[in-house]
Amino acid sequence: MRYLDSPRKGQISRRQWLGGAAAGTATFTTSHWFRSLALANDQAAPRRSCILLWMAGGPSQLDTFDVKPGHANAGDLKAISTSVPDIQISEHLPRVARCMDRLVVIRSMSTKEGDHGRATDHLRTGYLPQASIQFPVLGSLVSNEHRLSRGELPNYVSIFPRGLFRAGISPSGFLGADHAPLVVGGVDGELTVENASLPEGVSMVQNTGRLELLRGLEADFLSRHPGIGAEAHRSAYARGLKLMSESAREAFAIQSEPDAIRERYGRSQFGQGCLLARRLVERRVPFIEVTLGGWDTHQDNFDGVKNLCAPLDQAWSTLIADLAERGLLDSTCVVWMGEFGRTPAINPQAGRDHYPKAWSVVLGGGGIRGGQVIGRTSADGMSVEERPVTTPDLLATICTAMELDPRTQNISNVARPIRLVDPEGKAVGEALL
Amino acid sequence: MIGPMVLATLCLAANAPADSGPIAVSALIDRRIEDQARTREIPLSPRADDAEFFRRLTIDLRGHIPSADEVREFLADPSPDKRTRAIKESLAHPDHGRHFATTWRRLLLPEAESQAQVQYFLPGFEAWLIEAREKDRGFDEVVRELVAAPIHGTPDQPQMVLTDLSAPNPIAYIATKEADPGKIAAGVTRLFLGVRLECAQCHDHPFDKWTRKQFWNQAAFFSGISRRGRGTFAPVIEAREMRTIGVMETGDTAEAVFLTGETPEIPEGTSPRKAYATWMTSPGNPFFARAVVNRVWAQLMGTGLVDPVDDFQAMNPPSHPELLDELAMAFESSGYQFDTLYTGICSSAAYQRTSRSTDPLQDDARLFTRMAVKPMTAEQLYDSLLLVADQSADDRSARQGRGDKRKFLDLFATPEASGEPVTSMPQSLYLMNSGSIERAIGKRAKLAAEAASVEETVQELTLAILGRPASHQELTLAVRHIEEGGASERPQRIEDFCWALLNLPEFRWNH
Repeated sequence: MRYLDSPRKGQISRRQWLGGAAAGTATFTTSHWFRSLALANDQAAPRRSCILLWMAGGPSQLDTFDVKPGHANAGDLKAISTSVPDIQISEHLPRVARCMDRLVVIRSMSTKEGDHGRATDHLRTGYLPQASIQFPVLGSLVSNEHRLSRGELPNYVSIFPRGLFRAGISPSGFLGADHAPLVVGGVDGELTVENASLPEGVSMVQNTGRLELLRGLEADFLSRHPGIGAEAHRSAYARGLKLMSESAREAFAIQSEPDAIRERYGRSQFGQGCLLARRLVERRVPFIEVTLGGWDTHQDNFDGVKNLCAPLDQAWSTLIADLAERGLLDSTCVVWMGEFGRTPAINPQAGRDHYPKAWSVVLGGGGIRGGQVIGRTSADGMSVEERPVTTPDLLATICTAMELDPRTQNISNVARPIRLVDPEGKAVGEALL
Repeated sequence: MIGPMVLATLCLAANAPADSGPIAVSALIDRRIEDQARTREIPLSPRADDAEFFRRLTIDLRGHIPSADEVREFLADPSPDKRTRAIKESLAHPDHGRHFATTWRRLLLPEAESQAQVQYFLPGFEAWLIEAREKDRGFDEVVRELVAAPIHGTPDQPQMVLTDLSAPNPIAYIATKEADPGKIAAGVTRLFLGVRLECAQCHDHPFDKWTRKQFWNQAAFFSGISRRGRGTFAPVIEAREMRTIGVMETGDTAEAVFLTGETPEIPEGTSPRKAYATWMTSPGNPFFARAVVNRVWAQLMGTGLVDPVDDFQAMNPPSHPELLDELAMAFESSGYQFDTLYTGICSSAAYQRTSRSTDPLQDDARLFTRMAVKPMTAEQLYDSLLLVADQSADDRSARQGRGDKRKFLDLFATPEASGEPVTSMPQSLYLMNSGSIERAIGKRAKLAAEAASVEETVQELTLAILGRPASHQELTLAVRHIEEGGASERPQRIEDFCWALLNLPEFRWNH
């Protein structure tokens, strides 16, 4: 509420800690440098974190959370009971079924974008794509609300985001590079932050010498070319160096987890990604997304969905249980969604095509009143019959669950204030605690 | 519809006489920029020194930093007209055509960044752009060729979009827009007319005069195009008699009507695209020349006269309206030739000012009282790093793994919108720690270490990486760092200096 109707830029608190960074010219790892960060950290109000399980390609609602047993559109898929009486979901998600008391299924998502790119932008920013306004994605918005005042870790981490970000388009939009996601995981399938350790053969001592030299050489140019560019440059280097610190790198070291835990999440990329997400939540990173791709099942939908559900079921259910065991579930909102659903009618290739008109998402954990289904689709799954939910409604719900006011404003690149969530969106109150 | 008042203003310049030579263009620029600075009492920053000018020019026109030898030669040249010659030589350099093609290809086929299949079109499409630039063909003609690219074929025998990978041709533009009339129209109007119509596709433009109807009026010119089958390589056909298009969702029909409100006369049997291309590029068209000169201005000066560059509208007026009109007129009377425009802008005092701030009032980038600090595009930075790593132009594309380059371009992609350069954390990590950077500095440091003294090594590296001699203070700092380690550590400490230079914003930015 504090920021309501007080438009501002994203970089408010940066100057204050950059002062500390610039002063520490001798070495970059001196403790006083981090102390100034810790001070700023204390001022930030604790809020909930969010783990977004992003199902790239658009998962089939009929084969996951809105099964239509007995109807031709269901194919041969069976529904199973869950830990909540009267709620049934797909037979491929038996472990998730046992967590249903912590989950809310919204079966009445109704959106308008049926193209992967535009729909992805829409679901991730909450706004319809417009050429002129560079809307930031939810992770960047959350990152900005938490400022840059936290410890060594960035506010927004994206794990295995293959194909999620489009080249040349900044996911953080008008909030700028400070709130772009830190991407973890490369094509080789390793969960590493690229270039976060010193180059081979370069020692800490040598690197300190390099940095000193850099500081000495850049000062004159930066002072003669003032502006946000100079500030952003210093900030990017300061944050890069923080990430290279021992404790930051330790956060990403999932190999230090006991084997039993790693097995429990499953050895899939997605499973290990979820384990990393839990480690980052423990270290108070406010927004982490883990991508599971392959849901674009135009052909052979039934095998495709089944194969994807296996790692999903194991990792997601373990994540919920693990967070609960560690006392973190109440402060972590876990969201499951893709960019749209799929056609209830089965096409000649035994596939399902894009369908934004009636589909499902699942929310759970912190701030969410679990154990219920919201909305209903028709018997054939073709239309929403009860409580349609739009993209802004959904994002307003997630923000509220995270204790962020969806009406908070930022100044956009066209100098117009833009709210976190389109004011047309109304949080789905019954989903919230 | 455009109101009569707006049109009257837009066409005003048509009556103004204009000399179209580059010298006249420079004079126009300086008169308007200096007039406004005087009115606002903002002091102009002084002329850039030779090294600053030469590095800027080389990056802007050839797409990468100059080599140490080139810098040395330019600095040593005593002749007073050396800047003029440097501009001429840069424009004639083969790298200029390549850089021009990369720049416009990125604007025309942005899909290539995210869709692997589109990459097959690039050799032919870029060859077409390079050819156009090397011959300095009028841009009106080039754009007509793009917009009205002939589509032969019949429903039974549709036209293939990809037959010869390397033959210069512009058909990729239609193929990558999925042969979709709306997408083609939106792209054309945005790039060549400076008008954003795509928001009007579904609803009337929220802040502008453009209506949803007008979006579909433009799309109607392309309504005959369709493709047979799915996918980027699907063959295309055109029903030339089509003059209308069905409006999505409402079911209405929209006619082909120009943005100026006139209805075209389209001869029987010819494609309406031809009429559209002719209208766009006809002398006196209020949009085309303005949109193109504004974009080139932004590429060279950092910010458009209208900014964002593709958002010409009443709510977003130009910073120097007369200058925009005059430049557009000059471009038009030169036969839409880029040589004149580039030479005119690069020869102006405005372009040749230093980017150093000498007064806080100069920070308003839209007044051009000092040169903007521009981000290097990902391609400019990539090619500059290759030069640092001493890779010659010939083995550049061959030796580099395509995957590595792709990753680099993604990491360093700059948003299309102009503005101050921004460094991201992953970029800083790449420049500090990546193997590619370490290899480049290893190579460069080794070359420089052959110099007779540490001082000379430092000078050589500064010339090669920053394109200028080291200052006294820099020399002291660097020599101290290198000598502190003794003879045994010398190679490593030369690398340290090289590393520091590559991590300087001064290297990373075009200033």
